[in-house]
Amino acid sequence: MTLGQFATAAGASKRWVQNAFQALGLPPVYSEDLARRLAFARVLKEACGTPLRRGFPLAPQALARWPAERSWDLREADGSVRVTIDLERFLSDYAVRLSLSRTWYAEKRRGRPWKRRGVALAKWWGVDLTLVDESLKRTADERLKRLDENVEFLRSLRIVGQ
Amino acid sequence: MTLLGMVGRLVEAEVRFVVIGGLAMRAHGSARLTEDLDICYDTAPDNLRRLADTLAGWHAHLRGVEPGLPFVMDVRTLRTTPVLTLVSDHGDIDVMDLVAGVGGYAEVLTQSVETGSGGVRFRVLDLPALIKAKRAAGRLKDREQLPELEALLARRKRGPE
Repeated sequence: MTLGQFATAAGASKRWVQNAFQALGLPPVYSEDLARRLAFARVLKEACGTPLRRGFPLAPQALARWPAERSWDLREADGSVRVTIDLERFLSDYAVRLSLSRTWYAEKRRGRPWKRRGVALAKWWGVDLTLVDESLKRTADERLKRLDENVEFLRSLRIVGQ
Repeated sequence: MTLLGMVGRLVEAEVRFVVIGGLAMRAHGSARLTEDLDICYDTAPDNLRRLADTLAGWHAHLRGVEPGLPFVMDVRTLRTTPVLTLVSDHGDIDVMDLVAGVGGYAEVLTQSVETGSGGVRFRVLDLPALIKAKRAAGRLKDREQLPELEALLARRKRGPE
C-alpha cells in the first residue's frame, strides 16, 4: 500500500497522514488495518475534538465490537459528553474508500516499466486487477457467454445521426 | 444480463446518467471490448434515490474489498463519495458524480450525445470530452487509449483516408 492509497483509505490528505504518523510516533509503514484505525481516530477528532493520541488507541477495541454491536459509545468521565459511532456506517464508508484506493487510485510512477513483469507490470500500467479477478471468478463458459452478449450489444451501438 | 440490459434498467428506473468509459469509446467506434459499465450521474436528490434503489436491487457491492466489511448502498453513500467501483448481480459497474477533465453531471451532459441499441436510448460522453477525460485521468491505461481516440476524432473530422 502506497502513501497515496493509505491516505485515500483513511479519508485524509497525504500531508494529514504524515503529520498523524509523526504525532503518533508511527513508522511510515502503510497497512489497511492501520488506515482503518487512523480513519476511526480521525472521525473522533472531527466529531468531538478528541486528540489523535487518545482516539487512536481506542480504535481496536471499538472496531472489534462490530458485527456483534452496531454502534460504539465514547463517554467522558464526568458524563458531560457522549459520542456514538455507527460502526456499520463507519466501516461501510471505510470500505468504499478502501475499494477506491485499490481500483481507482493511481499515482505517478517513476522508473522503467519494462523491468516489471506480470502483475507488477499490470499494476504499473494502471490495469484494474479487480476486474480481472472478478472475471476469473467466472467459468470459461460464463466468460465466453458474457463476452458474446457484450459483443452483440456493442456491435449494435450507433451514435444517433452518424 | 448484458451491458445493454443494465443500461436499460437504469433508463427504466428514470435514473439520469451519461455513459462514459469503454462503452462510450465503443459507441464512438473503438475496437476495444469492455466488461464493465461506467456512468456519471446527476446528484439531484430524486436521482440519487432512484440510482441507490436500483443498485441496491442489483445487490451491488464494492469491488476489490473482502466480504467481511459492511457496505450500505444508499443515498448517503452516493452523496459522500465521488466514485464507487461495484460488482452487481448483473455485472461490474462504476458510478461517479464527476469526470476528471470534464466536470460534474451538468458539464458531462452538455458534452454528451444520444445513442441507443435494442430500443434503449441513452447518452454517452462525446469523443472530444472522452479524450479530455482520458488525458486528465493520466493513468497509463488511460494514456494508452488516447492514440485510438485521437485517431477516431481525426477520422471523423477528415473522413477515412
